[in-house]
Amino acid sequence: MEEKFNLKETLKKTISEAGVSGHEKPARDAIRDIWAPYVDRFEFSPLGNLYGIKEGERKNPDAPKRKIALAVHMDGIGMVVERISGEMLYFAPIGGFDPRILPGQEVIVHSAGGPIPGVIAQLASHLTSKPFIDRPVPLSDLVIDTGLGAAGVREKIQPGDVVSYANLPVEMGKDHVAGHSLDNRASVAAVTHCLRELRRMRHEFDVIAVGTVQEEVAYYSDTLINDLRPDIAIAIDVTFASGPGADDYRTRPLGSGPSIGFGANIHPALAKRLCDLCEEIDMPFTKDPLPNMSGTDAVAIQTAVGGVMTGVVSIPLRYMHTPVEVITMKDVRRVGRLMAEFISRLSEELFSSLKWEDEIDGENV
Amino acid sequence: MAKTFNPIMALPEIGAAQIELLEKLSNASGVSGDETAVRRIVREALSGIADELTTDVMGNLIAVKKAKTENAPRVMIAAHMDEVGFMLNHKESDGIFRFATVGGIDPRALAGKAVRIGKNGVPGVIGACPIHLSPRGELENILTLNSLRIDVSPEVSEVEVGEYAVFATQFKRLGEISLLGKAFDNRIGVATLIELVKNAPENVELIAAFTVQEEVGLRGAKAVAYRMNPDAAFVIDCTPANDQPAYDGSENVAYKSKLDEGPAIYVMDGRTLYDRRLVRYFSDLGDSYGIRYQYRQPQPGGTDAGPIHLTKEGIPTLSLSVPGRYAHTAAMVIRIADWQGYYRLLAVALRHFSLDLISGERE
Repeated sequence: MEEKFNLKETLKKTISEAGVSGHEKPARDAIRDIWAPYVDRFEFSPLGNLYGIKEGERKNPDAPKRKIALAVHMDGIGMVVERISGEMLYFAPIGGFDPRILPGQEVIVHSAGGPIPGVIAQLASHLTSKPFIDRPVPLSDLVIDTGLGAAGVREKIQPGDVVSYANLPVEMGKDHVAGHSLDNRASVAAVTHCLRELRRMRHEFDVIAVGTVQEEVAYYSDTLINDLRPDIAIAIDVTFASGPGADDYRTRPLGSGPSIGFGANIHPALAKRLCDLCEEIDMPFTKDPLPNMSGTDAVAIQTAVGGVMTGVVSIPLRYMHTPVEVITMKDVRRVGRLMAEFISRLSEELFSSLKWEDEIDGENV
Repeated sequence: MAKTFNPIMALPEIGAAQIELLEKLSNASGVSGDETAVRRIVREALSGIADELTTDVMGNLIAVKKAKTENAPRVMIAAHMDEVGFMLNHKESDGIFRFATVGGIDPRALAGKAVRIGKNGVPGVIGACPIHLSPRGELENILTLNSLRIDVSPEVSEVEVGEYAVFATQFKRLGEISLLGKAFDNRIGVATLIELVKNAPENVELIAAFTVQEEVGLRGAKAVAYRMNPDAAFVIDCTPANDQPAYDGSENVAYKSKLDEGPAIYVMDGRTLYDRRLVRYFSDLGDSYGIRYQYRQPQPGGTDAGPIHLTKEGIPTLSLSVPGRYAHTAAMVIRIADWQGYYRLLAVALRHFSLDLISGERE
């Protein structure tokens, strides 16, 4: 009955929508539509989180009701109009990125009257705050040109209007996609794939697909824990793939499968279980050593509401935080499948086995 | 004393069909030395319309529209078809290529852009190191060509060293008054010249020269001018408009040209001191017809007029450009009204042209 589903097309759809941190609605609407067939109901948090809830089937109705949250941030980096000079818009960044990618970049200014296309320009050296010759023009000196003319700009655009990237998704071969906001819509697609896999699997735990907000500026995902109280939370995000500009020990190849996070931010028993599961289902994976904080929603999740068993699973991605991030769908599907396989195996028994090595049942009793 | 002309009322205009033609031309790939795709569009547009249509050994396309009057002046209008772009010059690993720029491109506007490679337009991207992994202080340095790569993904094997690439920018309208696209320098001239041939007047022999290799040294025009040896030549192009306000709001006195001020008439550039008679001819026409025009500030840079005006005994030549922002980057911005004025001014310049204008001594 279902119309033809294509995971890559849903990913292209989500990266064609704006979702600048703090202004995630366009992305959230698209993601909700994509997840709708696979979840029992949605909830929304005041901060903008999207919760797609798919209930589990407990074998023993007397057992405690357990939940696992898969958290993917919906937001992406962007900009905001800071001041207007004639026809030109000066802007400030939202989230962290290298401003050297900006000149020549097409953008959308989200004005009160609707989206307005424009392009980021680097002005001639006599027009900047000082001449930048043989060095990059800093973000504070770059402008957005909407072609509306000074009068049109005055009429339609206000300081405070949010700016998102406008470049369209690029398909390279059958399986590679380039575009902006693949950090983290690629992970959204992985959760979509997981939800689809779960339709033909039994699972005891309730599954909550969580679209989070404002990850690129802060870690506010403790609010989702407060709302949901999951027993396990896995943040799915992107990690550095090897490629031009970044090829060292901190990277892994595109197409190398899920990268399983290890470190203080992650419960070691959960990380080990995910690695073991990759072995069991014959799925390639890499380990992602995260010696300090993971740089994902897991940072806030782990300590929320008394502490949560937290994991981090990542998709390899090239050129992170540029408008031409690159992923392969193979890795997206694998991460989705790994999550589904993990969830379908989750039982009270397995959950209670995820412990510290030296942890003793019923300690202090 | 400025000469006045009695306006001819029925003149062709730039409208939806012409904007559509520009869209097609802007989206086409035509890096210097590889102008075939653009030439094909021009030939298609003019076959059956031009009286002669020839491609020369360099790749210049010459369309001639004969006059219907005796001893008509032979006026050449030249518009270069080529654009700046890239050539892949080394395969580094699967799907990763080093590349060189063809023509002048500021490497500061390359990172983060999508490109299309070769005849089939294979998609690729120019990435950059994630900011998270950039060494401290690195953001102060330019991302040079030496550090940038074109990535077509490990999956794609059909791309080869030696192929050309262009920015993947797709043409679009910006609001009511502007257009955005790549290669308006000089597809705007190409589109205009196609329209001029389609609407050629009877009083001149129009030699429409769609030239090659302008961006790598004004090379195609040199061969065309020698072969065609016209009585006069108009070079039509797109010139930079550095017309934005200065950062601190002080007056911008070095703008080269300005949007909204109409077509830019050249008086002097880095290659040519223009024939005063033709400069005055164009400005008088502008005044007579109420067409807004501006003088391009005498600054460096050159057009195909450079080689053309020095051909054989010398050919009286004028350059006229549409002002365009952000030339030689992924996306330019132009005003429709400037283009309309440019086209109108050229249409009337052909219709009023006579050899008397240039028969005497140069001033």
